[in-house]
Amino acid sequence: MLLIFLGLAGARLLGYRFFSEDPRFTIWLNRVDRVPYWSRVIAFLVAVGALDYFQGDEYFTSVMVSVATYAMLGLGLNIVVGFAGLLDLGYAAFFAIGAYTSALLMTEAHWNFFATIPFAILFTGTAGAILGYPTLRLRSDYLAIVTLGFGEMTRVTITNWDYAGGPNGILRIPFPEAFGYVFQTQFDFLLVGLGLLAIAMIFAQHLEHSRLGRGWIAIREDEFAAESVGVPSLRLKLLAYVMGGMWGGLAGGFFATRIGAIDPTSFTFSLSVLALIVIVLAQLADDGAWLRTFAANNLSQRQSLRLAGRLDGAPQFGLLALAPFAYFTSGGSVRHIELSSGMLETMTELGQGATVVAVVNR
Amino acid sequence: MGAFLQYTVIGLTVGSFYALVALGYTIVYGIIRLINFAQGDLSMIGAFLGWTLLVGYGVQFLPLFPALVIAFVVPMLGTAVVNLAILEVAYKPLLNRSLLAILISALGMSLVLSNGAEWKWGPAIEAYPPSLLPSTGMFLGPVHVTYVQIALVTVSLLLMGGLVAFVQGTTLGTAMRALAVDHDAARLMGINVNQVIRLAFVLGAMLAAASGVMLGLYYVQIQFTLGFLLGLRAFTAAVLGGIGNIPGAMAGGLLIGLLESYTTGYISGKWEDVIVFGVLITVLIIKPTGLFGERVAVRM
Repeated sequence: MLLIFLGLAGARLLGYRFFSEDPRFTIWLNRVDRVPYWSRVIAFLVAVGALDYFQGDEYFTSVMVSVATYAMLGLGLNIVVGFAGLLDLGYAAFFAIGAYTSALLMTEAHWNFFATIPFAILFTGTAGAILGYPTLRLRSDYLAIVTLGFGEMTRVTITNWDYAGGPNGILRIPFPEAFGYVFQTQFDFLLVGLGLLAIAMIFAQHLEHSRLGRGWIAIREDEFAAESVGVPSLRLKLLAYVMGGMWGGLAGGFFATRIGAIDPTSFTFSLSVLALIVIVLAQLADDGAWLRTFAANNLSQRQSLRLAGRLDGAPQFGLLALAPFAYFTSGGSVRHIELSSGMLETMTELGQGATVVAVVNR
Repeated sequence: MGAFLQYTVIGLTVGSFYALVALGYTIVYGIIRLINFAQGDLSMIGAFLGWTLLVGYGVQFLPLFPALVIAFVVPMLGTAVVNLAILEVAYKPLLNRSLLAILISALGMSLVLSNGAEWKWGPAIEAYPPSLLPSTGMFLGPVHVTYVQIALVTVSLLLMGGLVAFVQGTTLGTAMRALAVDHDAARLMGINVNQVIRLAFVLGAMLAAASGVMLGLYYVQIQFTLGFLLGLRAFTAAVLGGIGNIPGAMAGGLLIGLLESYTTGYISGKWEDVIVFGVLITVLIIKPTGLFGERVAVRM
């Protein structure tokens, strides 16, 4: 599966490198691109689901569910960091707020999971506005520490808040139900996850090409210039946090119902870093957002899967984390990287795996 | 009143550790606009190097003064080397790219360091020899101050004073200050920018190592995870005081130490993080450049 993703991304990249002058290629590419985005997403996710159904075992499916969760996280963070260029090191906070909102509504008020989703999103969006407001005047580096601070503050608050379960968290969160059917196997979760992911991806893509998205990109490139042509940068920055947070909330709600019990240790700074890794890796594919985030997550999860059997060797991979990173984080455009795509893939795997493993095996 | 003074003493002690690490953050940031997330972990590495010397190589059995000198100096040199390596490998190639790139690189480096430490020294909590330093103290009025506290704070103040003297008094120090203003102008004046950047990293590493060893001596217990929280608090301190601003970092460090101490004493240890960050955010809302104002390079 990994190879398929990388193959697709790699093929497209290689295509760019070798064929961009050939008009026949660009015509073909235009025809491919003209297929509406949502149908590509649905087709892709259906293919993923089908592949998993026929090929995968329970463990693999659960990994894919995690992939879907991280993909949602990455999509959300991509709005804040990728579109608007706002450094956010506390994204785990949104994940936590979404998860706890959903969990509390399900356990205390006995709501259906799907009913809690809009509220989880709403609360997280509001939290985004509250968290984003003090940061509006700050420069990017201060932003980093403040968002990190918010992430930590949220974690500490939920650890100390007894209504939310304190350090033990919330237990016995019910499974999602729809029209009498209870989603309880891993594959069921995958269905729900992929469904939510489809909505998330399509929405994100439309956001990117909307007026709002273009405003964000303008702010990212040069805030003063954007202001001078009438882009209301403060309002848009706030909106970036709000909307970016919403995806985190969605992922959080899904996470809560899927795991069944949540506690504060799932929402640490490492998770925020993981989300950042996801979007950084996603830039590698530099394709549509669909391949991007999904591939990035897939890599991350695949590595945990593959290296789980060699836990004691894990930290040494941590040491290898950096070298690939230094190259890959260089501005995001793959065209600037002069490695062959084979080496790219290997180093990506190592680097991503290393970092993820290092983080995950604390 | 006695409790307040006691908390103050503790806060100042811990604050001076934070101040040292914060200085490392602030110097590096002032020159190249990079948040060296690895700074906290450098402190941890310094602590572990000191521990290896004292416990592993038996340096603790030497007479006290040479033992301490070795326990400080060798980790300082060791972490300086580590930091230089980090600079060359992880930061140099990215200096002219986007801020996000170098930030993630720094985060990655922090992970590498802490996991590397876990790999090398194991995940267990290790202890500095507890009988190495006397645990006696004296009473200054209602407050009990241990000699260790006095000694450590004195050493910290000496190091900070040394740094300030260096930055203000020597040519190299002036070169660093020049870099914190404008890189190209510095080049025009004949300053070897790369050398000075390396110098800044070395200094930051040495301060971090010193604070790490001091943490080990003060708290006795060290673990590979201590870098993260220390780095976070120290960076908060640096930002609070105004990033790039040396006196600001020192003041910020002491302030954060005091805040922590008062919070733990009067409210509860659980809410430390919230209060510390709350204060930071409030200060930044009111004065976005920090308490003493920032001093950052105009261009890289």
